[in-house]
Amino acid sequence: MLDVSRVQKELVEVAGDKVSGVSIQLLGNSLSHLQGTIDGPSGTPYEGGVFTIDIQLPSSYPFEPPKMRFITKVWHPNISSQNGAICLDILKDQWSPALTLKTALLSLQALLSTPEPKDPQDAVVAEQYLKHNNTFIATARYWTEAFAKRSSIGLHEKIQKIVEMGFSEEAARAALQSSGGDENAALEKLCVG
Amino acid sequence: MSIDGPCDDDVHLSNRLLNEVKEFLTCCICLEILHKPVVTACGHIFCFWCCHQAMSSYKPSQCPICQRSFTYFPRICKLLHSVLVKAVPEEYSSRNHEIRCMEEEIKLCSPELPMVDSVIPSDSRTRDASTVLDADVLGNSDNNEKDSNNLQPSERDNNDSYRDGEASISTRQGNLTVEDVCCSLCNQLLYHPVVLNCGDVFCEPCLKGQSSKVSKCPSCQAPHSPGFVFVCLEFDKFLNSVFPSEYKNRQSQYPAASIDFTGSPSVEFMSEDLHISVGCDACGMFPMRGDRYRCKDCEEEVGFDLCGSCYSDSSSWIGRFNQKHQPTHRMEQIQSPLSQDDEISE
Ligand SMILES: [Zn+2]
Ligand SMILES: [Zn+2]
Ligand SMILES: [Zn+2]
Ligand SMILES: [Zn+2]
Ligand SMILES: [Zn+2]
Ligand SMILES: [Zn+2]
Repeated sequence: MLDVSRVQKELVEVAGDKVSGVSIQLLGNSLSHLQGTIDGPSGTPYEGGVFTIDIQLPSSYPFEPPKMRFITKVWHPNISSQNGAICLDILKDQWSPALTLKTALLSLQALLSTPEPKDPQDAVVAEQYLKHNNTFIATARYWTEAFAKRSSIGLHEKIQKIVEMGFSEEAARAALQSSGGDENAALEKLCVG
Repeated sequence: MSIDGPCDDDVHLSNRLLNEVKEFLTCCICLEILHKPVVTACGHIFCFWCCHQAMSSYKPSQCPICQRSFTYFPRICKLLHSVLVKAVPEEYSSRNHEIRCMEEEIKLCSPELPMVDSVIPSDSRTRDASTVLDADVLGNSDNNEKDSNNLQPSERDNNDSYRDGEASISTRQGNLTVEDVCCSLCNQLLYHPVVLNCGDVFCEPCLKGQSSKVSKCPSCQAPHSPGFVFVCLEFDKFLNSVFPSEYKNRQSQYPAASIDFTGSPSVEFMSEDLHISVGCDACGMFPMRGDRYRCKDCEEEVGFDLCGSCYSDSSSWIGRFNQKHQPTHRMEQIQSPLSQDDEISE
């Protein structure tokens, strides 16, 4: 049984915090599936981007860590460029029930600022980070521009694009919503399921 | 202090206490006011159930706040519990109601403790520190003439439950007196409080007067493992904030006292003869290592177990989950399943 009262307290606290650059949204009626966003830290290739994170709470939360995954595609040694899986100790064995969703999201923000290439999630990215750092920075910046920018093209246009590919408007809207407005992620979602 | 406005003072006082409790006596796991608080040797406070759930059933547990290892489930700190009963009676009893419902669901009980603040008849011990916390102490700072060693009872003009020379514990809601937070060794306001595994509280300088190693409770004689104990900083801040002038007096008695956080534990943890998910009801060792004795007569589902040294100590121990264990009950030794084969089932 999920500690509903604690999760609610956490959501209220995050909602009241306008300065940290993190937010958490409900996806439906269930408190066990949430969606977070973090602002890309300034002075990094992720600056200006908004990154959406899928959050699943196990029923034993907060005694077990939340399951977090980047929905927005991101180029980073500790985040899978394929599926958004994150390599971060506090989301694994270093989790403590005194940590919160907010502190976890802040840790992800810190991870964007200071990659740990020695403990990589994505070996390709990590190698590039270590051997061709300039290329790494350029690629990471490009990915931020391409996937994490709060779109210059409107939601309506995106939906139109997806509808043209043969999906219903309703499905397109739902997929875009659950992928934080990222049309590529939305398309992927529609194609898989 | 206004003579015709006791109600305003009461409201002011209980709001103030509620804020102090919310600031310093909140559990970092459930994010609520602490319920039946337990304090780990590293000085961090959790609710009874939050601590219990945060502990590992098969390896040393890590403090959720400081990550220090601990292998003993502490007893409830009764002093802190009664502080909460007195300081925030309404909030605390509604917390207790919620936990009761949860306990019914999981069919386990936390130890029963008095949930109402009752008049305690004055006992033989007389304490000179009987300053009553009131709006005077909280609001104004014009009571700085107190002798540092002999605190005078402050004058109370609106409360007939307080009579000079009698126990000054009042039934008034939200009432907390210095007497409620005194050290049993020096009879003064707790200063740099440390809480042992048995749940008893002392000033750090009183307890560690002779040596920095603590192996036994001076009050109930219960063993304290793992030999070290750190100041409970949040409780200390609470005392400082609620009783500022008394705290200052205490502080001046220890001009050189700095809080000692050295001597982190080296928890020895032998995994042979490990009893997964079983704890000693006396000393709190969890999970249990070594010899294990189980009561054959206790009917509670959680059972009643003792470790080897507590079993040979033969005191009549009180269980951790309200079991009705009696000294006449028959105990039998249980072998660790791990000592026969190496299968670990979670
Ligand atoms: Zn708690
Ligand atoms: Zn700790
Ligand atoms: Zn003392
Ligand atoms: Zn004791
Ligand atoms: Zn024992
Ligand atoms: Zn028994």
